[in-house]
Amino acid sequence: MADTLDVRGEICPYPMMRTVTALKKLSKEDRSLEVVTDHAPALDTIPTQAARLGFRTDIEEAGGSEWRLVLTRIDGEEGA
Amino acid sequence: MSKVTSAVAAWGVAGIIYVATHQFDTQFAMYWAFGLAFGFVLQRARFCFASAFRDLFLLGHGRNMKGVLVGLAVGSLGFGLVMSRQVPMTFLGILPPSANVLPLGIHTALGGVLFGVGMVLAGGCVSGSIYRMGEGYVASWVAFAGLMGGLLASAYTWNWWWDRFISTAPRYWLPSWLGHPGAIAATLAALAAVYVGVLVMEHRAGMVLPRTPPSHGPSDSVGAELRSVVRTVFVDGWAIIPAGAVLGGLNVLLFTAQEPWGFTGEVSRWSLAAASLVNLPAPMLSGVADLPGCVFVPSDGSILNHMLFLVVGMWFGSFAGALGAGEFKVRLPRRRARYTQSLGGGVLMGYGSGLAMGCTIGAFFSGIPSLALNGWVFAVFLGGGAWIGTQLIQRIP
Amino acid sequence: MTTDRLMRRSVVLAVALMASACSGSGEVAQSGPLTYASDALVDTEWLKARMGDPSVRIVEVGGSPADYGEGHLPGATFLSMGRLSNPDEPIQNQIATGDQVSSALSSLGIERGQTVVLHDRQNNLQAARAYWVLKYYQHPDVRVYNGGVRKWTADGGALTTDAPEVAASTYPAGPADEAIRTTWSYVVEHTDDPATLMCDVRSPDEHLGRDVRAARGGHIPGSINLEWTVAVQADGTFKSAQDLSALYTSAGFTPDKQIITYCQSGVRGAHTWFVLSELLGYPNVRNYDGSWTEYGNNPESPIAS
Repeated sequence: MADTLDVRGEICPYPMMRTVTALKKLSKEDRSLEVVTDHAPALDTIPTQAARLGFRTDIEEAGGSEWRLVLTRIDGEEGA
Repeated sequence: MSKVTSAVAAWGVAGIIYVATHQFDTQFAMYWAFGLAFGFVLQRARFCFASAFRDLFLLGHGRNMKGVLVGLAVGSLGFGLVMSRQVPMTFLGILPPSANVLPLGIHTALGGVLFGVGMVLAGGCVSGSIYRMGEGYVASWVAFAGLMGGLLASAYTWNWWWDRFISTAPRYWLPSWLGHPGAIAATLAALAAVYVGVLVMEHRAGMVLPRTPPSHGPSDSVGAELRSVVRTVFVDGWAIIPAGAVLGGLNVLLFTAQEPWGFTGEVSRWSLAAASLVNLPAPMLSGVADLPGCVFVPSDGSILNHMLFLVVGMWFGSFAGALGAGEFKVRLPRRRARYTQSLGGGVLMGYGSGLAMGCTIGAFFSGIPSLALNGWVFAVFLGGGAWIGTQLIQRIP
Repeated sequence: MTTDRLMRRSVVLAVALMASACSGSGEVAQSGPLTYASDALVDTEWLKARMGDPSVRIVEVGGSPADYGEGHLPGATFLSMGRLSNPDEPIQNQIATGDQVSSALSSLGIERGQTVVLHDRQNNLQAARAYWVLKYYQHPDVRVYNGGVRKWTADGGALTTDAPEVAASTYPAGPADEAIRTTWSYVVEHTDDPATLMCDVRSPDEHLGRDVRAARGGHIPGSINLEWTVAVQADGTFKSAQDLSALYTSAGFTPDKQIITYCQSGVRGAHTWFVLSELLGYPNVRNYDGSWTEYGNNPESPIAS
């Protein structure tokens, strides 16, 4: 199971910044990271920054104004 | 309670307040309706001036800035047309009475920088904080308290600035030099140039993933079609370009009816009223009676004012919008530093908007459409301040 | 790809806008002093050039025939302001009926084809009111001699005690032009209209209800106080078009709005009506004839103070 980064309570730009920091710290073997946020604008910023680092984002509504973002590493030929 | 029920209830309350105020004073009702509309659109589109600048510097992400630019373009065209009827003869040095053509000087620049730093630190400008208050962000309430404090500090030092800089500062209105068509065209051209600049910055930063709007499936009946429209307006987030155009259009409507969109003057009235409650002496506020824009409004002891309905309406419109979309939630920051950050950012915004006689709305979103040079100068220094703010927040974990 | 296309489109747009800006600036080249919007106001030179012209009738208006008798402009006849108001109306100074105006002008031998030049001894106040009455009944050519008797003597003109002999005419008043006048109900309906602005031309004390001249004091809600005298220079003439435009614009009175002038009985209001409508050319200006006499005495009037 992937690591979970809980950024609930944080507002822009921190959900994105903390996600980027966590993605950069991710070891090569880790395929994905799960981010939980309750800040809707992060749904725009996180996918873009994740894509720039080679991750694909899947957004799930978790209810109660929370979202779960699953960031998955894209393999070589797919990425960039 | 489901989100549909709660949203319907909230809009019902908004309607009752409209009807009640309409009996009492139609101006109150009109400002209440404008406030609701502004707050609703801001919330639905997550229209945020702080992120317009910050995301551009931090991410090369231009979504919000594009919306702002579209809103400014619509506003400039509309304000320009209205002003051309108000002051047909531009070469006489006569200024339109209610547009935000404000004294331009060092206070404009300093106000812009302070405001820019403050809004990035606080995570939202004044309008952003008001709509986030409606969404349940406790940090935004703290930022608003800071704003009130900053405005108060600004009011108590106003005369120092007035005597040295503001009283003698010139007011530059572009149509005086360029005529109405020329001023409108030059403003639109400059906005187009900035838009191109935003595209270049985005291009350099790499890809930007647009949010794909949720698909509601094929609509094979009128009912399904209708449901899809309702979802698009009330549930899914709005795209930024139409939101910017709607906000610009609402601003033009408000200007046609009365005055440009802006509200820090009203918030200063609350601050000054609070100060008088604890028996602080009223500050000296030279010249404010003769200035447009969001200059300080001395407390006159009364509570109700049409502008109060605008500000509270924005908050309520956002609240109702958030309820309908299931985005309302009381959010408490988990790191204590965030409270300090919001409070400090709010104070800086308050002091800055006092000096500049407006915030990102009054001095910028209404300033540039007023075809006033002060709008552009404020915008440049606002951007500078936001850049400094962006450097600062990256050092705050 | 999309970026490039958008960029190209933006550049084309910018160039087009620049071009229109340049062509637009041609219109702005008309600098220089602003002139009055109509030729309703005439000066001494104009009047001297028309002395003895049978198609030009010089009429002194005011309240005192005695002043007129002691010396007036050559060729001027006298018309009492009382003849332009309706004695049967319970509200004082209300505009005369068409028949009353017909009989007043007939007694002076005025024809509809003649140019009527009105003047007074009171800063154009009475002349502007008489002008408004004649315009209301659509006399084709009415003028105000700017500054009246005072200006005439200041410019070296001689006065005479000879009253011109006039044979009575049968003057027919035209239909009323309702676009320049307004009534109580119209005013009340428009107190909330953002496109309408009321101009209270009375003194600040009357406006604020400290000088009460009806059952109740105060002003029409939303009205802005700009006393009629702001339009008058020290010598009794009107200020320049540029000064007037700056004054009224900065107070919020712009030509895109419907403006309703009012005072106590519609006389001072007619003076400001004349400034906005005739001198500045505002398209939609109405004088509220009933003014505070009617408004402040009607218990149903909404009032602010």
